[in-house]
Amino acid sequence: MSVELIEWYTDLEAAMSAAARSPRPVFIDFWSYG
Amino acid sequence: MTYPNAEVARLLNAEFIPVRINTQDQPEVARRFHLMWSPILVALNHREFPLHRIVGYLPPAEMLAQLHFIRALNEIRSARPANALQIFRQLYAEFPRAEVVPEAIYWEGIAAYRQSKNKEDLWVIWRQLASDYPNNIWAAKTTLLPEGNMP
Repeated sequence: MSVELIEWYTDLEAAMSAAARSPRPVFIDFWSYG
Repeated sequence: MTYPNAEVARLLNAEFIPVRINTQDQPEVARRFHLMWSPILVALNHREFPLHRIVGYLPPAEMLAQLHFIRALNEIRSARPANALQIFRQLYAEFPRAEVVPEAIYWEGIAAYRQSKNKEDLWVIWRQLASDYPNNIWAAKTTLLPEGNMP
């Protein structure tokens, strides 16, 4: 079974524009290199 | 790790706008959200209204339960309490032992009240929460409303 890849945005403004066009909650993973 | 899980990936792609922000590469975005640590998971509605925040990654079942919880909160915020109630029922059926369940029941009471405008509908659910989870903080919260603010 193949694992679906998550289609991540890395630009928050682009993500918010996408959310405005197709209203869905925005899920942001803030991460760092550690 | 959470993200290789097929169901987590499917749910994020289908029901959310998923975003990954590296706090070192985009410090100005991180500052906007007042982060004290990473990883931190932040959920907003499509107008940037904050819905929920989770510190640290979660195992897949807990993450899936949290994602359904966020979907339900989004429906409450969007004045669609009937949809929220449906999502809460799905959450309890699929993840009955998830950590977020008592918090979800607390919000289920609010969704029920928003739908019917009948305070008794809120209290029926909150009394059940107190009965089923007597030691949980979300049950305690239902008893600590100041006089005059009792819904």
